[in-house]
This record gives sequence, C-alpha cells and structure tokens, in this order.
Amino acid sequence: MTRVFLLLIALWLCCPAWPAAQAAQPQLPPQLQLPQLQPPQLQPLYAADVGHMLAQTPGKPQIVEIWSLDCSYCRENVERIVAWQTKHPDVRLTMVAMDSFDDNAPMLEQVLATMQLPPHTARHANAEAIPDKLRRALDTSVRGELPRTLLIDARGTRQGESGLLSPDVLDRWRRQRADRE
Amino acid sequence: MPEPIYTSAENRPKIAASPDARTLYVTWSMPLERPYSGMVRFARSTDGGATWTVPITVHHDRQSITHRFDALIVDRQGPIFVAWIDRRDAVAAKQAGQPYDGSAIYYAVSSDGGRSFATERKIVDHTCECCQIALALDGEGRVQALWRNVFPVQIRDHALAVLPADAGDSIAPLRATFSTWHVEACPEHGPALAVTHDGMRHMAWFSVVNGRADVYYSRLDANGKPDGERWAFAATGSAGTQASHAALLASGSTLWLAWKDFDGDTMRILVRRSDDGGRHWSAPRELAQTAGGSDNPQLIDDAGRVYLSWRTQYDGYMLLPTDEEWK
Repeated sequence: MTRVFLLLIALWLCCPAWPAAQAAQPQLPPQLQLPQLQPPQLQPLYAADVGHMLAQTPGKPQIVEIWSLDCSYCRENVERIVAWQTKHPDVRLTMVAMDSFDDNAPMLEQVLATMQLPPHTARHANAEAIPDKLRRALDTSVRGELPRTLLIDARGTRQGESGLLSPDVLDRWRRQRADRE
Repeated sequence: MPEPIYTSAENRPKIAASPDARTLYVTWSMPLERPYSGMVRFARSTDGGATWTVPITVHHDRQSITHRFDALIVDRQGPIFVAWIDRRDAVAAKQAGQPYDGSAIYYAVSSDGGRSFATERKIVDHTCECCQIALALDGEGRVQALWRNVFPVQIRDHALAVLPADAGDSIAPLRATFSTWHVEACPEHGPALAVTHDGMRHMAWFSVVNGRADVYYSRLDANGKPDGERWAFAATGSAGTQASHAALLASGSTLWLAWKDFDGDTMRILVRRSDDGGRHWSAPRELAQTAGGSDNPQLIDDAGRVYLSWRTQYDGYMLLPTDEEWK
C-alpha cells in the first residue's frame, strides 16, 4: 500500500504540467457560457395532472403526441411531427407514452433519445394503474388506437387525430389556428 | 431456461388442452432485440402442468422480425392450430421497394400432439399489425379465424376464414365486418368469435362507425352473408362510460358476451346472454370490478358451465360463474 502511495506521489511530482495545462485552456466568463442543453427528464403522468401539463405554455399552440413502445406507427409519426415542427418552432411538443412509467422508464428514455426531438420537448409516461384513466383525461374520444395526436391551439381548443399524420393535416390546423387568433 | 415473453393483454400467453384433457399446451410470443420482433413459442405438459417440454419455435422462418400475437386452439380430433401476425412479406416488399400495407397472418398445425409443427401457411396478406386473432371451432369441428384486416385503402375491418388442417386445402378469406374505419394506427383491439351449430358466425369487435368508437356485435351466416345489423351492444345508458375488449362464447344454445366497461375510476366486467342465437340479449350485468390494472376478460366453457376468467392487479385472479343470477 505504501509503495502504491509513493508511486502516486512520484507521478504527481513528475507531472506538474497537468494542472497548468488545464489552467491554460481559455475559460469564458459564466455569463457568456452556453447552458448545457439537457432534455427534460421523463416524468410520470397521472390523470389529475393532465390539466397542469397542458397549461405549461399558456397562450401558445402545442402538439401532444400519445404513443407507446409497441406501436409500430408511432415512431414514424413522431418523425413526421418533428420534421414539421422544425418549420414551426413556436409550436410546443409534448410526448406522452401510454406504457407504464414504473415498468418502462429506462426503455422509454432510450427510445426518446433516438427520436431527434426538439430540446425542450416535455416527456411523460403513464403513471395510472388503469391506463384508460390517463387516456380519458387526455382525450375522451379515443379508445386506445395509437398514435393519437392532440393539436391544441393557443386558446386551448383541441383537435384529436388517430394514426399517421400527413403534413397537410398539420398545415391545415396551423392555418385554421392563425385564422382564429 | 427462462426466456422473456410479451405480456400485454392483447399479446398475452395462451393455454389449451388436448381433447382427452391429458395434455396441456401453451404458446407465447418471445421478444427479440429489435423493436416489434418476436418468435412464437410452444411447450406442452403431460403431467397436469407440473413439468413442461423445452420450448420450440412454431414457425420455420427465423428472421428477427414480427412473429407475434399468437393464437392457439385444438380441434376435436387433436391437431393443434397456432396462428400469428407475421411481418416477413412486409419486410420482403420493403426490400424490393414495393408498397405493402400492414402485416400478414400465418398458421401452423401440429398433428403429433405438439412434438412438431408442419411448415406454416399464409392465411392472408395485409392485416392489422397489433390486434389479437380470434380462433373458434365450428359445428363440424373446423377451426375458423377472425382478424382485423387492412382493406384498401387502410380500412381496418375484419375478415374471416376456415383454417384447413390439410395443407392441400385452399383458404378462402371473406370480409366479415363493414364499418369502413379508415386509420393508419395500432388499435391493439382484436375481435372475438363464436360459431354456433347452425354455422352462424357471431362476432364482437371494436371499430369507429360514423365517428363513434364502440364495441359491436354482428353475425355472418354459414354462407358468409351478414345476418341482421351490427349492434353497439355495450351501450348501458350511463354517460361517459367506455366499453372495450369483448369476449364471446357459444355454450350449447346460449351465447355469452363479456366486456370491459370503464367509468373514469373503476374498471368493470359486464356480461349479457342470448338464448335465441344473438337476436335478443339480456340487460348487462356487472360481474366484477377493480380499481387497478387488469387483463382483458376471457370466457371459459366447462361442460356447459360458463366462467369469466379475469386477472387484476389489485384484486388477484377471478374465476366467476357467469350464470349465477340467471338460474
């Protein structure tokens, strides 16, 4: 043990340039440093919290994408929405997975990380023992088909769409929204 | 050696017994690494479930693609039928740069008590990717299958076919429901099927008709013609309840329907019965409820005694006779 300690001391003495090299790197003052862009963490979502989730950006349009790991259409639909959203960055995107948060959080995080989502996309997963409870809080007119997309304008008016979305649907929604506002 | 299995209500393991009840059979879908991929697996027990054979893969195709949503039934002579959703044709079409809607369904038959399965046959192209397949025996002992099909263009109605045990016999699918629901989505909501001795096919299925999402009952006669109108059988008069995932059983001359009914807080199982071939039905009766997660309901016939089989997260497993109050 003593030998190991002495060896470490010797290495430290032989390498005085290490801390100096670190110090030599240019450091921006804190006010000029870019913030680390960490995506929001996946959060459990209860039916009772849906209203709060939707009220995060009052007065702004948003898309809530309801998906699941086992839904083969869902990832393609997310690709389409993300491609459309890059031209409409004022529209907030929220992802809600119907898979159980408790059972699937690591896998959901992994799949979400591959989706090229806008950096501030909110990410949620079902925390209700009865998934129908959350589904109903999100959208009373859907019975489980996925993907389900909620298009919510700045006034809070909701439009639900099941299945793969064409850009036309999103463009039409945006035009109607602009007419109303 | 333990292996992973798909466990969703729509894609849960299945169990059946040989006609002499001496052998039990189970199938399940085993996930692979790639998303949506899986193998249909099979094992049997000849000692009442105490020990099981080493699982075998039912299909000869070994690609790491979808072979999932297995369905299992044993005909009266003993052959074992396993059907499943299969992605091989969609994959081949994609590789060839050709369009292909949905998946396909295949089936395989074992005529040696589950020791082996004959090479699988395709039932049909263009089916829903994520809805369970319903299998039922008809009065002649034949196996009939009902599944959610993808009709042009992306119409998700149901189709039905007799599955021959003999690979030389042709398969002739026919359209079974006519809701014309257009959607490119995963409903995860497969149909239920029962066949009565007059050859009538009784079907319970989920769809969206004229903008209304509901569970429906309809009949198809022995010649493949619709008999009567579809009926939204779960309408209970309670505002705001949602019905789903029906089971359907023919026991002698009686038909039974069971389904999930969610009122916003509680999941209930409701049942109806018909004693005149599905033309008239009793009022819905609540058989069970739970405040937590639950499987889809199943109906089981034990020599004329019908039971609801239902697994719940908080209230355990329930095996309840359906006919207590009707006696």
